[in-house]
Amino acid sequence: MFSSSSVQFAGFAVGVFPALASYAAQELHAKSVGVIVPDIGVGIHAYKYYIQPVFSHFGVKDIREVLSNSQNPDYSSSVAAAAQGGPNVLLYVGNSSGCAPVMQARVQLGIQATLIVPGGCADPRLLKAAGADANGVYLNSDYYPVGSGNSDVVTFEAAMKKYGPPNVPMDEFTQEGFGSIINIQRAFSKIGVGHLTTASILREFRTGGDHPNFMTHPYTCNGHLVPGAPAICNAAQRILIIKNGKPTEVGGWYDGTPYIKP
Amino acid sequence: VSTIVFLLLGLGSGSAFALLGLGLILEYRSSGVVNFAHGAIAMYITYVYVELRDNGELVFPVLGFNHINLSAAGLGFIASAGISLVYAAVLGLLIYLLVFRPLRHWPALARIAASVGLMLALQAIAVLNFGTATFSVDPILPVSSLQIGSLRVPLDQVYLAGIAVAISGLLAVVYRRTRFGIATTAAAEDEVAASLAGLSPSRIAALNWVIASVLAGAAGILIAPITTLSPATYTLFIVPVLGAALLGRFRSFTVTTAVGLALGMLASVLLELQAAHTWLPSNGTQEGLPFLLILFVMYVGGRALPERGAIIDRRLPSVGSPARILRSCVVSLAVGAAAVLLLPGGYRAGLISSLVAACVCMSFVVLTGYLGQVSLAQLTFAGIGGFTLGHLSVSLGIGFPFAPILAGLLTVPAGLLVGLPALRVRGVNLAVVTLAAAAAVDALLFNGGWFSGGFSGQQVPSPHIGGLNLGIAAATDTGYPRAAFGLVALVVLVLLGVLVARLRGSPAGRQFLAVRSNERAAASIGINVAGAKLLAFGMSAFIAGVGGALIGYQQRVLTGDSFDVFTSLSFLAMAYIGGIGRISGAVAAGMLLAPGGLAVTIGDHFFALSNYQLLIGGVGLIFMVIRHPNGLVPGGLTWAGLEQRFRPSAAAPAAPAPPRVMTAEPTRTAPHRAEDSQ
Repeated sequence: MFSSSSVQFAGFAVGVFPALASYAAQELHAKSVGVIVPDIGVGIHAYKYYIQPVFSHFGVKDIREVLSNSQNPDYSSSVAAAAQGGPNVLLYVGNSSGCAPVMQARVQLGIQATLIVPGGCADPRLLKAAGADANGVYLNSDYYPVGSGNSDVVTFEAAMKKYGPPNVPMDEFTQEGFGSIINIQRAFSKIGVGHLTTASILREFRTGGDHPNFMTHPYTCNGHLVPGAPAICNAAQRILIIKNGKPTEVGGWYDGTPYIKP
Repeated sequence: VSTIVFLLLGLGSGSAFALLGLGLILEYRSSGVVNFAHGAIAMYITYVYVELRDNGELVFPVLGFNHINLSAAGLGFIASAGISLVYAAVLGLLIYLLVFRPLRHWPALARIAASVGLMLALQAIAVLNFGTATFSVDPILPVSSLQIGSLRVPLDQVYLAGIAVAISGLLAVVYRRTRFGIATTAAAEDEVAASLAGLSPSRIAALNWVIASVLAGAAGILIAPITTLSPATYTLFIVPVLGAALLGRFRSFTVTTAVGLALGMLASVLLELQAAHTWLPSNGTQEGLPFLLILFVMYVGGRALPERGAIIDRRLPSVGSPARILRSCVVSLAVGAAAVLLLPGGYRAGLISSLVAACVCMSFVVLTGYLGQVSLAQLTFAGIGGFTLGHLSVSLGIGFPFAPILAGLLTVPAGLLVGLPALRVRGVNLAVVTLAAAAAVDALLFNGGWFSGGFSGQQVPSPHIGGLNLGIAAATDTGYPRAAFGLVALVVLVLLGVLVARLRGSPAGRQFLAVRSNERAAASIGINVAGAKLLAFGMSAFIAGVGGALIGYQQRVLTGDSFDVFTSLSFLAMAYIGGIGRISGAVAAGMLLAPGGLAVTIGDHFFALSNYQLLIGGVGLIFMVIRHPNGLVPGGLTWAGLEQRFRPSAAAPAAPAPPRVMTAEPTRTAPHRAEDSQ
């Protein structure tokens, strides 16, 4: 995402957290926020550059950052520390290993704040482990979710059913791989066989804007969409909520990257 | 009130540390093994339990015959846990009989290497059988909570702590009051005396390994609902667990349990304080806590830490005696350059990875091979070198070749700092210190933002001399990787080899061997043991730092992931398999075993072996430790060896026999105490 000679059709880490912070501030009316951040450079950086500025932009000043440690088996202390002061929103910024424990700890500790987690937590195994504690939790998706009925997604589902190897998880990462190939194929078709060079391919992606982006928001590869991440061509996210153990779309695209720090 | 809540919330993590620490003590007391694989055993047994409970499948660590279905609907808790613990008992017995019993008379390094091999193998088997996805486990203990102020405290954590305390008390009674416990203590104190008294140290050790593995399995199953299960998570707990066991002097169950619980509670309160007071340092402090504890124990009570009274009748791996250095350099450069220039892209990339890894492995030759000191922090030194190179190049504009040399030199203070505890401790205790130091640096520096470049990592510009780009890639060059960088890596490796070879033949090198052979004897003939140790730590840090700089040039953007503490363990494994006492061993390790290296690339291309690399590495390490402790290159790659092998008629040059006192070839000697041989 930091390379000027690459293109990336979905925002992932760069898109997720600004969008979630933006949604929390605009739609969940976050006034006080607790953020659980993994105690690693990526997490700290994500908080500093992709979360705090977005909340600040929307006037949320009461933000409590809590660093969670990978050598610590239990997340309840981290969740309790983030909930000190009674925030109305808790944001978990971490990998999937913390999803279910954070959801469970919030309920076990009796915390009322709305919990927001990254889209990786939508893995059915994690939701099953979290059980009823997952209900009411918000999360994102870089793509129209599987089962959403979107025409691109229906094509993807059919193709995977017919040609995909067994046991491939139908998640965002599989969607990213499939969608990227479709986008690349479209670009190659336009360029034409015999004219494919590094320069011509990059030119095709970078010319114009709002190109169709398979299963997700249209992309614009102008190198300036996300400050400091020139490869990102789209950072918009769908927002979902867990209902009865299953992710359900809230609707609309959210992009918080206009508010992040350069 | 709030602090009480956080103390109670820390019981979950603390119980995990305590429960795992108890098993670690048993393994050490019975066989002198600081088992780095203890967390991995807990992890594996927990997977077995989860598969039984969810799918009714009994999973075996044998690829190709890996499961039996006992019930399509899954088994209940009692059946699943019962079968899993029996499984753990069998696994523990097999591990002892097949891995650690053959090593019972070997020095600490061999057992550490074997435990690292076991850890890698168990992780690899878990990945192959269960994937890398994270599992969450259904609750076992009653899910209820206690309201304190505005927060509720989950009571399952309190129950878990109660279980840890109860098991600790039970073990304390058993090992103090019963004949078996007293026999274990006797065997730990003095195996010879125990044998003379009619006890069987091997049988006692086997039984203790069974108990330790059952404890590991029980700990894994109990803590699974409060944490998550993946091949990596449980293994990470080993650092705080080692801290607890070390403070319990690898002897006291009650102290270990108390320290484990205290560590968890302290970390929890620290979280509360950091969240409330933003001026408090936060980044890495929780992970750094066990290291500070370990360091404190080592400095305050290092000499008083117990060493087991084991019989040691084998020595460290053999040490090479480099000869005809110039000829070796010329041939290495010629063959290496030809390979770099002739190999196609993918294989050239593999060769470059091998050359770079061999540089890091070279640092083990000095420290572990020549001096006999076990360090699990070499890749951490490489990381310091790599990130420092980035800062020197980007911020200060220092270019090649000064920047990598300076990066290596700036890594030396870190080596000296980590080496300081070596003045007071050795063997397994030193391994623990270096592991903790690596974990602390990982937490405080590599993942801390400014030093490691934060989210986007630390940029490392390509090396240039004059207008010549020596980088691995260039904007105007479509070929990747570029041969120019391969030649740079080759030259650096050869220069480091010359440095190590010169060191081996120097007075300092001979002092290293004397210290390795017997510290007390070395001191008695006037060798400055402390100075020799610090010199070796400094030199090995320099070599690793230069290796890290090469990694920087190779990867162009460095992140902390490249140098994490468990990758460091893999590098020790590689160096040991290659031949940790020899320069050619380091080269062999790089060529044959480096991740993404030449042999791995070839193996993957022809046999699709990449998925099995970790497993092959782990099992290979155990096999090599037991069967070929001198490594893949025990001496065959010396000129004399090659001449003897291929030109039997060639008369060996007359050379004076090396002074026997300085050689360290493996010989069967009369039994002597462990601390004198390391």
